[in-house]
Amino acid sequence: MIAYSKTLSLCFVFAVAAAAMIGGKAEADGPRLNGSGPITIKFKSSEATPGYLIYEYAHATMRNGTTLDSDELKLIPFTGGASRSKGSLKEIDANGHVKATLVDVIGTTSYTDVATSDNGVYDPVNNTITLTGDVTIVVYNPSVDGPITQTGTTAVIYLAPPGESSNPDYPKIDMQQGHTVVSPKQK
Amino acid sequence: MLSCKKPKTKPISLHRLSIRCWPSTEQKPCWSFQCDFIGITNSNLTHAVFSVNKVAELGWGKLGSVERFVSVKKARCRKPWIIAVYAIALLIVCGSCWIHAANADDSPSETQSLLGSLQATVVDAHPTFVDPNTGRKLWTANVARAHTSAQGLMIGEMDRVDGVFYDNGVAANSFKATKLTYDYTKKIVKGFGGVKLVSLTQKFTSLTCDSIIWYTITNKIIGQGHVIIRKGPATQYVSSFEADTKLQHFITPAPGSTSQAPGFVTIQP
Repeated sequence: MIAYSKTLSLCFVFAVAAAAMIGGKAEADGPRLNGSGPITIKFKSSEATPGYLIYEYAHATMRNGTTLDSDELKLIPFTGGASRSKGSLKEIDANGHVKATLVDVIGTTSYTDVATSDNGVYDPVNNTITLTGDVTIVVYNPSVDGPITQTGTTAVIYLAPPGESSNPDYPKIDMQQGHTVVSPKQK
Repeated sequence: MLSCKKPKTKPISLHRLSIRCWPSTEQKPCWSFQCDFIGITNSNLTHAVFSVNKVAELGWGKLGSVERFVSVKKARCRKPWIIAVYAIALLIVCGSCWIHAANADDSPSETQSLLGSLQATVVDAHPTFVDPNTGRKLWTANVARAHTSAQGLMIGEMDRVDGVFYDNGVAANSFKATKLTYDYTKKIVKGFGGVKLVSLTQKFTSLTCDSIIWYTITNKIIGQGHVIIRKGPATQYVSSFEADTKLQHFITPAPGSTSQAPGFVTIQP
């Protein structure tokens, strides 16, 4: 299990990365609402039912420049629970050619990390994107030449909570199963 | 006063008067007007408005009475006493038709000939339209002004209208439009200008658009132009949509729509 954090070189300092991973999990386990704020989705066509809304060939844009592309995005609202949460967003399911792009600012340089997979779920409560299926993550780090690529079957992306957009710890990516690491040379 | 001004002193009370309309092949009425003022015109008459209280439903024998009443109105009416004469004449006619209606075998073909030649303007009306096949409500409205068309009472239009669309007799959504037309020969309703629909069965569901067509037979609504659909946490901007009357299911863009422009949605988690 490896965790990515922009403050670290991801692949060649495993122990440090593991420590960062622990920090990431502690952040995600908290009960607070970390919603990403308003989300805009461009789409080709849509369908709505009483239980969900489906957007086909969709491109979602979240706060801090995070985007989520998919053949199909399914919005599932809360239907029960407290009245204040009824009708609000429970999750977004992404199916088919899922692609998440994350803006990763390291120092004064902005990098774009890309994660692709077969399926994904955005959780607005914890502000995470869980990718499953054939997952590939490509991240950039100023400490190494070229991108760092990792493949696996599951990954969790932790997006920055409200008010922490400048926190260098975000976004974090945890890949937890069956990974293969391609390590570029250290600069 | 026949020039269609509302009587100020002694409003003419036309008890037990209403206008109802039958499709040519159906036995049940498809709509009835219950209103405060009814004005009736045809090609050779000036406009007339009368205050109507406690409108009750009658058979279409009343339409025959309206036709005969209209023929009386060919004379010009400028003084209050003339209105009183007309009122008396109208009550006599209505009374005779009431008796006629009570005794008559309601025959659509008899009335249909009258419908074809009659145009009506209704002010501050609250029409109720029913499905002639089932007798259930199709839609109700509060309308500032309504007109039947030259084709008769089966086709008409309304200005500044709001009301309720029904699905299988159950209130499905409230609506509002600057102008609304109905055509009972095709059994469709069209709304234009600032159309707003709010679902009465689906929480957090409403929409606005430039125009809609409601197909009452198939329970299908198609909307066009500057469509904004609000459903749950999503506010969706599209060029067109197709939905059922309850606004349970939406498809965008509407199938077959000339505009297939992509849409976008904003979500407030």
